[in-house]
Amino acid sequence: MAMNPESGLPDEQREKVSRRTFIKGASAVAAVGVVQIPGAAAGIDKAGVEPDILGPGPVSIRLRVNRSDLDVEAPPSTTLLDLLRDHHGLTGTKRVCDRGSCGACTVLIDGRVVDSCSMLAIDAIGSEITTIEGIGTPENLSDLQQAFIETDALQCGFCTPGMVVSCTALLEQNPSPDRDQIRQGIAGNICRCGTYQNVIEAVEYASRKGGK
Amino acid sequence: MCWASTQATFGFRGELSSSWGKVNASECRVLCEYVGGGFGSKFSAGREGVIGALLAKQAGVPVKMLLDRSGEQTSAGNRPDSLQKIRMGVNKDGIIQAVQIRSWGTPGTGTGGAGAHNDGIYKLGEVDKVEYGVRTNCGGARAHRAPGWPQGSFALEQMMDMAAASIEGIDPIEFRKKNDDHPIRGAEYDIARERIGWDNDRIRGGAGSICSGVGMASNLWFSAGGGGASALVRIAKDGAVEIRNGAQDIGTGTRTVMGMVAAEELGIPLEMVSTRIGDTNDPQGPMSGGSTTIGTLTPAARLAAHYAKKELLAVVAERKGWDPTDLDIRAARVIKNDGSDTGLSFQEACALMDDDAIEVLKARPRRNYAGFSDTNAGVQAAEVEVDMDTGVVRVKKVVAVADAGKLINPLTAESQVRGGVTQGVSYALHERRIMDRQKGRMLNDDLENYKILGSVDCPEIDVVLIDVYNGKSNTQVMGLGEPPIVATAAAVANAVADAIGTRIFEIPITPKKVLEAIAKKNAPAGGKTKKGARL
Amino acid sequence: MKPFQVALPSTIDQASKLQLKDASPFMAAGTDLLVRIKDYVTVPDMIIDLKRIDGINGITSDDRGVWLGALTRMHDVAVSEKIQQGYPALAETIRNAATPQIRNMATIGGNICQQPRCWYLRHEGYSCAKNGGSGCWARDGENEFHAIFGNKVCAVVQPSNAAPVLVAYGAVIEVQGSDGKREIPAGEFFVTPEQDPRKDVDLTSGELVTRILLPAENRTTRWGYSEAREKQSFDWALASVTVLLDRGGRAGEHRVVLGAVSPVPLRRKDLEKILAGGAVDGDRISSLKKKVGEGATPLSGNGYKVQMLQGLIGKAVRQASGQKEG
Ligand SMILES: Cc1cc2nc3c(=O)[nH]c(=O)nc-3n(C[C@H](O)[C@H](O)[C@H](O)COP(=O)(O)OP(=O)(O)OC[C@H]3O[C@@H](n4cnc5c(N)ncnc54)[C@H](O)[C@@H]3O)c2cc1C
Ligand code: SF4
Ligand code: FES
Ligand code: FES
Repeated sequence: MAMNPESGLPDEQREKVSRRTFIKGASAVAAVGVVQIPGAAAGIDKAGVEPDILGPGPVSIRLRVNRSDLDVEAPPSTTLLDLLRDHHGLTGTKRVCDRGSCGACTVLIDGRVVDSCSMLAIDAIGSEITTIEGIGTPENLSDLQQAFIETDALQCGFCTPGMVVSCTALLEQNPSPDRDQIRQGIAGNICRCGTYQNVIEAVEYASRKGGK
Repeated sequence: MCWASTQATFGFRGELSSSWGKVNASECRVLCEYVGGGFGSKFSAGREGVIGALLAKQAGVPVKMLLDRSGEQTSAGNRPDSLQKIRMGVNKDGIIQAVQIRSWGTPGTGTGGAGAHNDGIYKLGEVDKVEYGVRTNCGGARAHRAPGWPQGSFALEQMMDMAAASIEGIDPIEFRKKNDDHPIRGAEYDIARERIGWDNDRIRGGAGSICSGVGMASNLWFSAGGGGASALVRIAKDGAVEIRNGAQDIGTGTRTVMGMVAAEELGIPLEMVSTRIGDTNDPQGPMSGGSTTIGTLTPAARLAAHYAKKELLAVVAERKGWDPTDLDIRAARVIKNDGSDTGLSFQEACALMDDDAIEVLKARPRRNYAGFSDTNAGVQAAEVEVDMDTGVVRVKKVVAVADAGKLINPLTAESQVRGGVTQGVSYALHERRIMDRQKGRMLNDDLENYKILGSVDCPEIDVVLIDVYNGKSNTQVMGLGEPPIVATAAAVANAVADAIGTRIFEIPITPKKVLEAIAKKNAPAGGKTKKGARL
Repeated sequence: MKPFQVALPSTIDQASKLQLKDASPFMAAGTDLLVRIKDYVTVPDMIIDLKRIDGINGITSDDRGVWLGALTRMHDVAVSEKIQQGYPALAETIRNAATPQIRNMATIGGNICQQPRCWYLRHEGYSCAKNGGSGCWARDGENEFHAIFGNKVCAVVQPSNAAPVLVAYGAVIEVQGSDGKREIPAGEFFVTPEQDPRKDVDLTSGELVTRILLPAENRTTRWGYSEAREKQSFDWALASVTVLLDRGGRAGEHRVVLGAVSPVPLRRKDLEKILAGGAVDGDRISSLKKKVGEGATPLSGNGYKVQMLQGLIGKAVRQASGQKEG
């Protein structure tokens, strides 16, 4: 499926939108009923003169997650977190505050840490998204994840995926961070259980081993 | 069937069966392989759990019930506030003669659970204590890690420092020692004193723009375990070993520790044991509360593993014509009592079974042995730095000396203490509900203004674990979940007082309160602050 | 969250017209807007996502100075060499703001247009001067984090870390609507409650911030920035002080701007005058401390901010004049 550079939406969907221009007049009704038709309620594209208007019903969204393409139908008002958890079953990314204050939902977008609860999924179209599932698997842990185990850097484990993602990005940018830099690197990740010191030790451990 | 995030799978099951009505508890099944956090608020199914179950029953379809952050903070219970008044009488030798304590706690619309525990740690002489629960229409109370203890400690330990200060020539630690007869804590004070740098020179008492101070407080817990718990150990013919119990792991490492005890008893490495928990179809287990989970579970685990091993060795003895009492297992090898190898590995021994598996279910004894120490004691010392210009307090270091009975897993034990201290510092400096005095609504039902200590604020935590063989059970474990949060806020408050030269009697110790305390201290003696006067 | 439509304009003009049509809000990264939508403080049928608009992202420079595109991420502003060298106080304040995650997402345009954090404003069910009703809950209620200056009508504090620093550097906010462009001095961009309690910034319907200019002539080497927060790992400022000495290298041209203590960044000419009086010594710092609280009208719970400002101004001035913490 080709992407439209302007809207970031798959071309196919825009075609459907255009073909179904006739629905426009009845958009409010269509939006409720015809969920299976992507972009049914969307506006028309008159060669870039009129902007795309998506939703409120589901549209098809293609994201690149953990190095593979994932397609789903979801309302454009869906946050990236909800899309990952509820539509893709990638439940490693956690929801705690849903307001950008805790970091449990941290994922990487083009290598940078973001709170996936505080952005729309459609704004991640075209970016490389990495979730905790893309960092390591139980059979194939990353060095950092192994270090978390060695240093007991998790208790209940709820903040842990976010912590691991933040620390992975930190090590990527700075392979041998000092303690202050590690503290700053995880300043957006809250741990209720109080594992900060262990997380710092885990990063140091992974860093000594030259891993990520 | 219910998947729950709970601290008490079996208790949850009981609540479900009573709310579903006419359903036997044994017909309900509660599953909880992972809890997420649990610090007291998940003892009960709560309204949220019961409502979810009822909805599912009525609708006949699965129902997922999830409180969002605000719902969690407004409807799932609070750590009660506490207001206390303490008077203490001390003789000129520094011996406490009598204490009067009045406390008012907020259990919400419920009753109870809002007392302040502070009369158990020191020898206080005559104690006159009355606790009141003040009902408030601001959401109910739920337990929070060591319910009532940090509150009680915060008040009493400041009183201890003030009393010490009123006696010529006694420092706060000496004063505590004089009034404390716990056999273990006596030694702990000195360890804490040395490691926090109690006697170092520092700019204290408000004398510089950055001032530093140290403070100390003690804690106590009774957590050797108790109540019913059984464990099932299964050794299969193919060598697979499994231990099962239906209780939950709230992040304290229960799963790992249960496996470790079984592995130790069976003489095999931990990797060979798989542990199954969090399913009420498995043998009964305790709730995670009162720091008793491990103390309650591990004796059952050891007993079950012990008898399973005996059965296995009996099979081996019979097949090989050896004396079963001369056999043991170590490092996954069957050995003789003199230590010599029989040439048989654990795996090979299992293969000798006729049946598919050996299964042993054992319960712990209902009561602990007398032992020689019923309580586990601890001491914490905090070092703080206060910016006198801004009132910002940074806790630089906390030394936590903790007695945990016999340590099973020092790594997870140390993590528990670090966690308790971290939460304690958070409680001391940041945590509070902000209730709108006009509408009675909580204004900080979020993680933005309900502030929780973060990585940059977290002090260096120096944990000293003291291994105490107390003879209370076959594992001699004392729980370690709650004790480490008891003393922290009090130690921080005492350290702040040392740093700024005046006391703050209210937590959290925010920049606002520090600045107000400094202003009050610096206000010209006798002169009342004029209305509108610039501080 | 109530599902909404998302409009994806690709030009400023499209965005502007969309807003003129039915007053839908603009969204840059959404770190502020989405929170308000989730809390039902704003319940829009449609939002206008600005991220696909060309030409308002990134940092450029010309002979007028350094231009920050409105969509530039806070992190990218903080690490920009142009900013660190010419306008270090801006880099410093942004480094202090929010969390690494938020700084990677949030835009500088969104940062200066974000809605204040007053907890009454951000809970549904409280109608006040700012959201279209009348009166102020905070004045008689919970106001520990609220304004001590200019708080008669509405006691919010301007939440943006960048705002007071931009005012100090004499930044210019470039805005554009379908009628064309305007350039607004940062000092006038933020709207006081007396001017209009419902507005935070001087934008009319259909206008968006396109770029922010940091003027070349105001590059300053003698600067100080101090801020107090309860928590060091991400928290909002309780108060901040920005000091520029000899701004743009012009002797005697100083700037003192207070942050998080009033509904708009508060430039203090009276303090600048004290600084212009001579060398920064102990006496001068004492007079600054004495004066900084003048005009404050603290509420029941925020009098401490006056004291805090006294401490912070000392720190900022000492930093600017190259003195050690005393
Ligand atoms: C946990 C947390 C902590 C924070 N701490 C701090 C802090 O310490 N200091 C600080 O300064 N900030 C802090 N913030 C706020 C954060 O910086 C802002 O949310 C962010 O800068 C807003 O940028 P955005 O791109 O996400 O804006 P959006 O959320 O997209 O928009 C914010 C508002 O600005 C409007 N808007 C956005 N862009 C434009 C434009 N170009 N033209 C016109 N209007 C526009 C929108 O309509 C909306 O009303 C914090 C936020 C969070 C979640
Ligand atoms: S401070 Fe402003 S926003 Fe907050 S309640 Fe008062 S008027 Fe409303
Ligand atoms: S869930 Fe996203 S930051 Fe808390
Ligand atoms: S491990 Fe429980 S919140 Fe961090």
